[in-house]
Amino acid sequence: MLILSNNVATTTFDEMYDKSKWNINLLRELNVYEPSEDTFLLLDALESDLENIIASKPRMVLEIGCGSGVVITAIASVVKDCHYIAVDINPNACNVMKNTAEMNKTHVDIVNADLLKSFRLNSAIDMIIFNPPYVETEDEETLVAGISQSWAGGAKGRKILDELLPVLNSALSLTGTFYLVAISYNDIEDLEKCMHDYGFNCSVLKIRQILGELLFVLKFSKERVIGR
Amino acid sequence: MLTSRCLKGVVTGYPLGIVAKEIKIQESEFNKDFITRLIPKLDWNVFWSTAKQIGYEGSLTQQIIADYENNENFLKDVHHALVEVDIFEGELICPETNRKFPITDGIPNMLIKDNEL
Repeated sequence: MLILSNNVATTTFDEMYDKSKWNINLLRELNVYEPSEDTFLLLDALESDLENIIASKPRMVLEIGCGSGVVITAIASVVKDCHYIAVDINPNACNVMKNTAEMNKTHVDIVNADLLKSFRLNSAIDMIIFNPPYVETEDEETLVAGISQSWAGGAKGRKILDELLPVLNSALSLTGTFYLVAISYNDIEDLEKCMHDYGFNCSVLKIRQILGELLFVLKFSKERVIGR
Repeated sequence: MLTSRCLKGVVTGYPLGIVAKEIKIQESEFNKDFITRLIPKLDWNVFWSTAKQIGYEGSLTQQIIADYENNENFLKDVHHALVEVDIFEGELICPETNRKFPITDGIPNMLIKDNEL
Protein backbone atom coordinates (compact mmCIF):
# COMPACT_ATOMS: atom_id res chain seq x y z
CA MET A 1 0.00 0.00 0.00
CA LEU A 2 1.44 3.27 -1.08
CA ILE A 3 0.51 6.49 0.66
CA LEU A 4 0.85 9.57 -1.46
CA SER A 5 1.48 12.87 0.23
CA ASN A 6 0.75 15.38 -2.54
CA ASN A 7 -2.13 13.87 -4.41
CA VAL A 8 -5.10 12.51 -2.58
CA ALA A 9 -4.92 8.91 -3.67
CA THR A 10 -7.99 6.82 -3.26
CA THR A 11 -6.76 3.91 -5.32
CA THR A 12 -3.56 1.94 -5.38
CA PHE A 13 -2.51 -0.24 -8.26
CA ASP A 14 -3.30 -3.31 -6.15
CA GLU A 15 -6.94 -2.66 -6.79
CA MET A 16 -6.43 -3.15 -10.51
CA TYR A 17 -5.73 -6.81 -9.80
CA ASP A 18 -9.29 -7.03 -8.64
CA LYS A 19 -11.49 -8.44 -11.37
CA SER A 20 -14.29 -6.05 -10.38
CA LYS A 21 -12.16 -3.27 -11.88
CA TRP A 22 -12.64 -4.47 -15.40
CA ASN A 23 -15.46 -6.24 -17.19
CA ILE A 24 -14.27 -9.77 -17.77
CA ASN A 25 -17.41 -10.74 -19.66
CA LEU A 26 -17.04 -7.91 -22.15
CA LEU A 27 -13.35 -8.72 -22.49
CA ARG A 28 -14.08 -12.37 -23.32
CA GLU A 29 -17.02 -11.54 -25.56
CA LEU A 30 -14.87 -9.16 -27.62
CA ASN A 31 -11.87 -11.52 -27.47
CA VAL A 32 -9.41 -9.03 -26.01
CA TYR A 33 -6.18 -10.01 -24.21
CA GLU A 34 -6.97 -10.64 -20.59
CA PRO A 35 -4.76 -9.01 -17.91
CA SER A 36 -2.06 -11.62 -17.33
CA GLU A 37 1.32 -12.10 -15.64
CA ASP A 38 3.00 -9.59 -17.96
CA THR A 39 0.28 -7.01 -17.28
CA PHE A 40 0.73 -7.45 -13.54
CA LEU A 41 4.52 -7.23 -13.77
CA LEU A 42 4.13 -3.92 -15.61
CA LEU A 43 1.69 -2.68 -12.95
CA ASP A 44 4.17 -3.69 -10.21
CA ALA A 45 7.00 -1.92 -12.00
CA LEU A 46 5.01 1.29 -12.46
CA GLU A 47 3.90 1.21 -8.85
CA SER A 48 7.51 0.77 -7.70
CA ASP A 49 8.41 3.86 -9.74
CA LEU A 50 5.33 5.85 -8.76
CA GLU A 51 7.15 8.39 -6.60
CA ASN A 52 9.38 9.31 -9.53
CA ILE A 53 6.39 9.47 -11.86
CA ILE A 54 4.53 11.83 -9.54
CA ALA A 55 7.62 13.95 -8.90
CA SER A 56 8.07 14.39 -12.67
CA LYS A 57 4.56 15.94 -12.89
CA PRO A 58 3.64 14.38 -16.23
CA ARG A 59 1.17 16.37 -18.30
CA MET A 60 0.64 13.82 -21.06
CA VAL A 61 0.92 10.05 -20.73
CA LEU A 62 0.36 7.69 -23.64
CA GLU A 63 0.04 3.91 -23.68
CA ILE A 64 0.52 1.94 -26.87
CA GLY A 65 -1.29 -1.39 -27.14
CA CYS A 66 -3.48 -0.64 -24.13
CA GLY A 67 -5.54 -3.83 -24.55
CA SER A 68 -8.03 -4.08 -21.67
CA GLY A 69 -6.77 -0.73 -20.38
CA VAL A 70 -5.96 -1.73 -16.80
CA VAL A 71 -2.43 -0.27 -16.88
CA ILE A 72 -3.18 3.27 -18.01
CA THR A 73 -6.37 3.28 -15.90
CA ALA A 74 -4.31 2.37 -12.82
CA ILE A 75 -2.02 5.35 -13.38
CA ALA A 76 -4.88 7.67 -14.27
CA SER A 77 -6.63 6.72 -11.01
CA VAL A 78 -3.61 7.73 -8.95
CA VAL A 79 -1.77 10.44 -10.89
CA LYS A 80 -4.29 13.21 -11.42
CA ASP A 81 -3.98 16.41 -13.46
CA CYS A 82 -2.58 14.66 -16.46
CA HIS A 83 -3.95 14.02 -19.93
CA TYR A 84 -4.09 10.33 -20.84
CA ILE A 85 -4.09 8.83 -24.33
CA ALA A 86 -4.46 5.12 -25.11
CA VAL A 87 -3.78 3.56 -28.51
CA ASP A 88 -4.61 0.08 -29.76
CA ILE A 89 -4.67 -1.45 -33.24
CA ASN A 90 -7.58 -3.70 -32.26
CA PRO A 91 -10.94 -1.85 -32.26
CA ASN A 92 -12.34 -4.33 -29.72
CA ALA A 93 -9.52 -3.52 -27.33
CA CYS A 94 -10.36 0.19 -27.72
CA ASN A 95 -13.94 -0.55 -26.70
CA VAL A 96 -12.86 -2.55 -23.64
CA MET A 97 -10.36 0.22 -22.77
CA LYS A 98 -13.21 2.75 -22.82
CA ASN A 99 -15.29 0.56 -20.56
CA THR A 100 -12.42 0.03 -18.09
CA ALA A 101 -11.72 3.78 -17.90
CA GLU A 102 -15.40 4.52 -17.30
CA MET A 103 -15.76 1.80 -14.66
CA ASN A 104 -12.91 3.43 -12.74
CA LYS A 105 -14.10 7.00 -13.31
CA THR A 106 -11.00 8.07 -15.17
CA HIS A 107 -10.80 9.99 -18.43
CA VAL A 108 -8.64 8.49 -21.18
CA ASP A 109 -8.67 9.59 -24.83
CA ILE A 110 -8.66 6.46 -27.00
CA VAL A 111 -7.45 6.16 -30.57
CA ASN A 112 -7.72 3.07 -32.77
CA ALA A 113 -4.36 3.25 -34.54
CA ASP A 114 -1.17 1.38 -35.45
CA LEU A 115 1.61 2.36 -32.99
CA LEU A 116 2.30 6.11 -33.35
CA LYS A 117 1.90 6.16 -37.14
CA SER A 118 -1.12 8.50 -37.03
CA PHE A 119 0.33 10.85 -34.43
CA ARG A 120 2.26 14.07 -34.68
CA LEU A 121 3.58 14.47 -31.18
CA ASN A 122 6.38 17.07 -31.32
CA SER A 123 7.90 16.04 -27.99
CA ALA A 124 4.60 16.59 -26.17
CA ILE A 125 4.50 13.26 -24.36
CA ASP A 126 6.08 12.86 -20.92
CA MET A 127 5.66 9.13 -20.57
CA ILE A 128 5.03 6.30 -23.02
CA ILE A 129 4.13 2.79 -21.85
CA PHE A 130 4.28 -0.26 -24.10
CA ASN A 131 3.63 -3.91 -23.34
CA PRO A 132 4.35 -5.02 -26.90
CA PRO A 133 3.56 -8.23 -28.73
CA TYR A 134 6.86 -9.80 -27.67
CA VAL A 135 6.25 -13.50 -28.43
CA GLU A 136 8.48 -14.95 -31.15
CA THR A 137 6.35 -15.93 -34.19
CA GLU A 138 6.51 -16.01 -37.97
CA ASP A 139 6.58 -12.44 -39.28
CA GLU A 140 3.32 -12.97 -41.21
CA GLU A 141 1.50 -13.73 -37.97
CA THR A 142 1.96 -10.12 -36.81
CA LEU A 143 -0.30 -9.01 -39.68
CA VAL A 144 -3.34 -11.09 -38.73
CA ALA A 145 -5.96 -8.76 -37.24
CA GLY A 146 -7.44 -9.73 -33.89
CA ILE A 147 -6.24 -10.95 -30.52
CA SER A 148 -3.03 -12.48 -31.93
CA GLN A 149 -1.78 -8.94 -32.50
CA SER A 150 -1.55 -8.61 -28.74
CA TRP A 151 1.23 -11.19 -28.60
CA ALA A 152 2.59 -12.07 -32.10
CA GLY A 153 5.97 -10.33 -32.28
CA GLY A 154 7.63 -11.85 -35.37
CA ALA A 155 11.35 -12.68 -35.42
CA LYS A 156 12.86 -12.58 -31.89
CA GLY A 157 9.54 -11.02 -30.84
CA ARG A 158 11.00 -7.69 -31.92
CA LYS A 159 9.25 -6.92 -35.21
CA ILE A 160 6.59 -4.55 -33.88
CA LEU A 161 8.78 -3.04 -31.17
CA ASP A 162 11.54 -2.26 -33.68
CA GLU A 163 9.03 -0.31 -35.79
CA LEU A 164 8.36 1.97 -32.83
CA LEU A 165 11.86 2.60 -31.45
CA PRO A 166 13.03 5.18 -34.07
CA VAL A 167 10.12 7.56 -33.40
CA LEU A 168 10.24 7.53 -29.58
CA ASN A 169 12.80 10.28 -29.15
CA SER A 170 10.81 12.83 -31.16
CA ALA A 171 7.56 11.86 -29.40
CA LEU A 172 8.93 12.33 -25.89
CA SER A 173 9.67 15.56 -24.03
CA LEU A 174 13.19 16.28 -22.72
CA THR A 175 12.47 14.56 -19.43
CA GLY A 176 10.31 11.93 -21.12
CA THR A 177 10.43 8.27 -20.15
CA PHE A 178 9.51 5.02 -21.91
CA TYR A 179 8.38 1.94 -19.97
CA LEU A 180 8.63 -1.34 -21.82
CA VAL A 181 7.87 -5.01 -21.18
CA ALA A 182 10.41 -7.38 -22.79
CA ILE A 183 11.29 -11.06 -22.63
CA SER A 184 14.78 -12.58 -22.52
CA TYR A 185 14.75 -13.79 -26.15
CA ASN A 186 14.00 -10.25 -27.37
CA ASP A 187 17.78 -9.77 -26.76
CA ILE A 188 17.75 -7.26 -23.93
CA GLU A 189 21.39 -6.34 -24.46
CA ASP A 190 20.77 -5.44 -28.10
CA LEU A 191 17.63 -3.55 -27.13
CA GLU A 192 19.63 -1.42 -24.71
CA LYS A 193 22.23 -0.78 -27.41
CA CYS A 194 19.57 0.22 -29.99
CA MET A 195 17.91 2.55 -27.51
CA HIS A 196 21.28 4.02 -26.57
CA ASP A 197 21.79 4.85 -30.27
CA TYR A 198 18.38 6.58 -30.24
CA GLY A 199 19.50 8.66 -27.24
CA PHE A 200 18.16 6.75 -24.25
CA ASN A 201 19.60 5.31 -21.06
CA CYS A 202 18.14 2.09 -19.73
CA SER A 203 17.36 0.83 -16.26
CA VAL A 204 15.73 -2.43 -15.23
CA LEU A 205 12.70 -1.95 -12.97
CA LYS A 206 11.53 -5.56 -12.63
CA ILE A 207 12.59 -9.06 -13.59
CA ARG A 208 10.35 -12.05 -13.05
CA GLN A 209 10.57 -15.65 -14.19
CA ILE A 210 7.36 -16.63 -15.94
CA LEU A 211 6.89 -20.01 -17.61
CA GLY A 212 10.62 -20.59 -17.93
CA GLU A 213 11.37 -17.20 -19.47
CA LEU A 214 12.64 -14.03 -17.85
CA LEU A 215 10.24 -11.15 -18.25
CA PHE A 216 11.59 -7.61 -17.82
CA VAL A 217 10.17 -4.17 -17.32
CA LEU A 218 12.68 -1.63 -18.64
CA LYS A 219 12.63 2.11 -18.16
CA PHE A 220 14.31 4.32 -20.73
CA SER A 221 15.12 7.98 -20.09
CA LYS A 222 16.52 10.53 -22.49
CA GLU A 223 20.23 11.06 -22.02
CA ARG A 224 21.08 14.45 -20.61
CA VAL A 225 23.27 16.60 -22.76
CA ILE A 226 26.40 17.44 -20.76
CA GLY A 227 26.54 21.06 -19.71
CA ARG A 228 22.80 21.49 -19.25
CA MET B 1 -2.18 15.52 -32.59
CA LEU B 2 -3.53 13.16 -35.20
CA THR B 3 -2.32 13.10 -38.79
CA SER B 4 -3.05 11.22 -42.00
CA ARG B 5 0.63 11.38 -43.01
CA CYS B 6 0.77 7.58 -43.20
CA LEU B 7 -1.56 7.57 -46.24
CA LYS B 8 0.11 7.04 -49.61
CA GLY B 9 1.11 10.33 -51.27
CA VAL B 10 0.20 12.47 -48.28
CA VAL B 11 3.03 14.86 -47.41
CA THR B 12 1.88 16.56 -44.21
CA GLY B 13 -1.64 15.32 -43.51
CA TYR B 14 -2.05 17.88 -40.76
CA PRO B 15 -4.13 19.32 -39.32
CA LEU B 16 -7.08 17.05 -39.93
CA GLY B 17 -10.47 18.61 -40.53
CA ILE B 18 -13.22 17.62 -38.16
CA VAL B 19 -16.97 17.10 -38.41
CA ALA B 20 -18.96 16.43 -35.24
CA LYS B 21 -22.28 14.61 -35.64
CA GLU B 22 -22.89 14.03 -31.96
CA ILE B 23 -21.18 15.81 -29.09
CA LYS B 24 -21.33 14.82 -25.45
CA ILE B 25 -20.35 17.14 -22.65
CA GLN B 26 -18.64 15.38 -19.77
CA GLU B 27 -18.28 17.75 -16.86
CA SER B 28 -14.93 17.65 -15.21
CA GLU B 29 -13.37 19.66 -12.43
CA PHE B 30 -11.49 22.76 -13.62
CA ASN B 31 -7.87 22.78 -12.53
CA LYS B 32 -6.28 26.10 -13.35
CA ASP B 33 -2.70 24.98 -12.79
CA PHE B 34 -3.08 21.88 -14.94
CA ILE B 35 -4.66 23.72 -17.88
CA THR B 36 -1.99 26.42 -17.67
CA ARG B 37 0.74 23.77 -17.79
CA LEU B 38 -0.98 21.92 -20.65
CA ILE B 39 -1.35 24.91 -23.01
CA PRO B 40 2.35 25.02 -24.06
CA LYS B 41 1.96 21.41 -25.22
CA LEU B 42 -0.84 22.31 -27.62
CA ASP B 43 -0.46 23.32 -31.22
CA TRP B 44 -2.57 26.37 -30.40
CA ASN B 45 -3.64 27.28 -33.91
CA VAL B 46 -4.84 23.74 -34.59
CA PHE B 47 -6.57 23.48 -31.23
CA TRP B 48 -8.37 26.77 -31.84
CA SER B 49 -9.41 25.89 -35.39
CA THR B 50 -10.64 22.45 -34.28
CA ALA B 51 -12.70 23.99 -31.46
CA LYS B 52 -14.08 26.55 -33.91
CA GLN B 53 -15.06 23.91 -36.49
CA ILE B 54 -17.28 22.21 -33.92
CA GLY B 55 -18.56 25.52 -32.47
CA TYR B 56 -16.87 25.37 -29.07
CA GLU B 57 -14.24 28.09 -29.41
CA GLY B 58 -15.98 30.27 -26.80
CA SER B 59 -13.72 33.21 -25.97
CA LEU B 60 -10.67 31.54 -27.52
CA THR B 61 -8.79 33.51 -30.17
CA GLN B 62 -6.73 32.41 -33.15
CA GLN B 63 -3.66 33.89 -31.52
CA ILE B 64 -3.13 32.82 -27.94
CA ILE B 65 -3.46 35.76 -25.56
CA ALA B 66 -0.26 36.84 -23.83
CA ASP B 67 -1.27 36.61 -20.18
CA TYR B 68 -3.51 33.54 -20.35
CA GLU B 69 -2.25 32.23 -17.02
CA ASN B 70 -4.04 35.10 -15.29
CA ASN B 71 -7.23 34.92 -17.32
CA GLU B 72 -9.49 32.44 -15.60
CA ASN B 73 -12.34 32.72 -18.10
CA PHE B 74 -9.99 32.01 -20.95
CA LEU B 75 -8.52 29.00 -19.13
CA LYS B 76 -12.02 27.74 -18.37
CA ASP B 77 -12.89 27.88 -22.07
CA VAL B 78 -9.73 25.92 -22.87
CA HIS B 79 -10.68 23.39 -20.21
CA HIS B 80 -14.17 23.07 -21.65
CA ALA B 81 -13.09 22.62 -25.28
CA LEU B 82 -10.16 20.36 -24.43
CA VAL B 83 -11.42 18.18 -21.60
CA GLU B 84 -15.20 18.33 -21.45
CA VAL B 85 -16.27 18.34 -25.10
CA ASP B 86 -16.27 14.77 -26.36
CA ILE B 87 -16.96 14.15 -30.03
CA PHE B 88 -19.01 11.00 -29.74
CA GLU B 89 -19.82 10.52 -33.42
CA GLY B 90 -18.14 12.30 -36.31
CA GLU B 91 -15.18 12.18 -38.60
CA LEU B 92 -11.66 13.44 -39.10
CA ILE B 93 -10.76 14.48 -42.64
CA CYS B 94 -7.36 14.34 -44.34
CA PRO B 95 -6.59 17.87 -45.63
CA GLU B 96 -4.90 16.53 -48.77
CA THR B 97 -7.01 13.57 -49.90
CA ASN B 98 -10.30 14.15 -48.06
CA ARG B 99 -10.04 10.57 -46.79
CA LYS B 100 -12.41 10.35 -43.82
CA PHE B 101 -11.54 8.70 -40.51
CA PRO B 102 -14.70 7.83 -38.59
CA ILE B 103 -15.17 8.63 -34.90
CA THR B 104 -17.46 6.06 -33.26
CA ASP B 105 -18.33 6.02 -29.55
CA GLY B 106 -15.74 8.76 -29.10
CA ILE B 107 -12.94 6.65 -30.62
CA PRO B 108 -11.29 7.79 -33.89
CA ASN B 109 -10.43 4.95 -36.24
CA MET B 110 -7.12 5.90 -37.85
CA LEU B 111 -6.41 2.49 -39.38
CA ILE B 112 -5.69 2.42 -43.09
CA LYS B 113 -5.94 -0.43 -45.56
CA ASP B 114 -2.89 -2.00 -47.22
CA ASN B 115 -3.74 -0.40 -50.58
CA GLU B 116 -3.67 3.06 -48.98
CA LEU B 117 -0.10 2.68 -47.75
